[in-house]
Amino acid sequence: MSNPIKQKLKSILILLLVILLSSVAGGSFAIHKIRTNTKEKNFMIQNGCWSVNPKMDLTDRYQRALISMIGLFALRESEVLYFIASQDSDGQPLSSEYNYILEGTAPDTRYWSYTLYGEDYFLVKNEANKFGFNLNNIQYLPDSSNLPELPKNTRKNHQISISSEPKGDNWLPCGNEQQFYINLRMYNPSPSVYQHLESVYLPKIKRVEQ
Amino acid sequence: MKNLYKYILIFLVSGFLAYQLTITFLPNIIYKIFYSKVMERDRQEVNKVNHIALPTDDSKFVVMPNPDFLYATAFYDLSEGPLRLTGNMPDSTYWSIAFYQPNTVNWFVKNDIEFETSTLDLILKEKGTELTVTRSSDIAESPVKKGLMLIRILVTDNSPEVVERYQNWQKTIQFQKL
Repeated sequence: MSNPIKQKLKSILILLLVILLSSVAGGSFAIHKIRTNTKEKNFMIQNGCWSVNPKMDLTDRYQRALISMIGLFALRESEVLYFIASQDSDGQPLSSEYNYILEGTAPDTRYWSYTLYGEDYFLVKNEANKFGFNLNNIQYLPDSSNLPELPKNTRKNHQISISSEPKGDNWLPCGNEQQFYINLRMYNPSPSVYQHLESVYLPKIKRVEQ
Repeated sequence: MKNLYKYILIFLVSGFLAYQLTITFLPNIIYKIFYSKVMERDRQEVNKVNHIALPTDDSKFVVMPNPDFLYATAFYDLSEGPLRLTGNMPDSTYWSIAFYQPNTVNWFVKNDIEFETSTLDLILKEKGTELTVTRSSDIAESPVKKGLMLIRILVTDNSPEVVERYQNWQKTIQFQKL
């Protein structure tokens, strides 16, 4: 092969390599920005350890991309509010290395549920085949329980034990996930929930001794 | 030296393009992957409703599935005209119908209370097309020719007999050509 041809081939190879590297870099940086822009652009409202998207603005490219990654085919906020917890009430990441108590009262909404998801955002495999609780299958606390941080005299208070090993009536298994998430869904919530997203009463998630 | 500048410029331009394309088209790519997986697994056909069991830890097609929902899905294609969606729905639980574009934008959602009936009868047509038949009281106008329909039926009690009862309703959901 003559030198000019060799030179030409070398140039083309370098060019292809540069394009490949820059595409990988650009794509990876885009994924990073999609994840971090949630904070920078204030998509989410924080309420305790829960964050919620108050407006599923799918005309925003970053928001649309993020939702397709972690909440594909989610419904609009007018139909359902998705409150996601990735941390406990002390701001520590939720991890199956620890046990937790989720303590709350029924929200003012037509249907609500808690679902636990693993690091990959899918349901976590467990022997009990238990993936969450909803308003009908949770065991409520008796009226007399009167826990200090929960509303008094209501039959809607509840506690859930989140751990790898079985614990109590409302046991939610978290498998062996380094990081897990809890999604509190509220379908057709009352107007007061929408008006006070930052302050509406939401459950606490506390780390407890094993 | 001249070549080095050239490659730096190419690196910056193609990196910028890759960034913009990823931000814009990631939802379409994820939708396409979902489409291919469903078509491959279930040997699905377009305009045919797929009735899905309650999600478990084996459900790996869509992130964050709700284990309380029976889902019915269909990829619709309005190239050959409008479609009619029918079914007998439960009258004592939440259910809703949602339509999505291939860029994952949810362009329509309507729930049981808004329908005011448990007999589902809805015409799906492309925006701007004329209807020759109007038997249905509900019409959904799609901004795109192709997309996804997703029906959610809430089942808060997962005992087998209750689930079976709801599945019987779920199975009545069908798409037909008008």
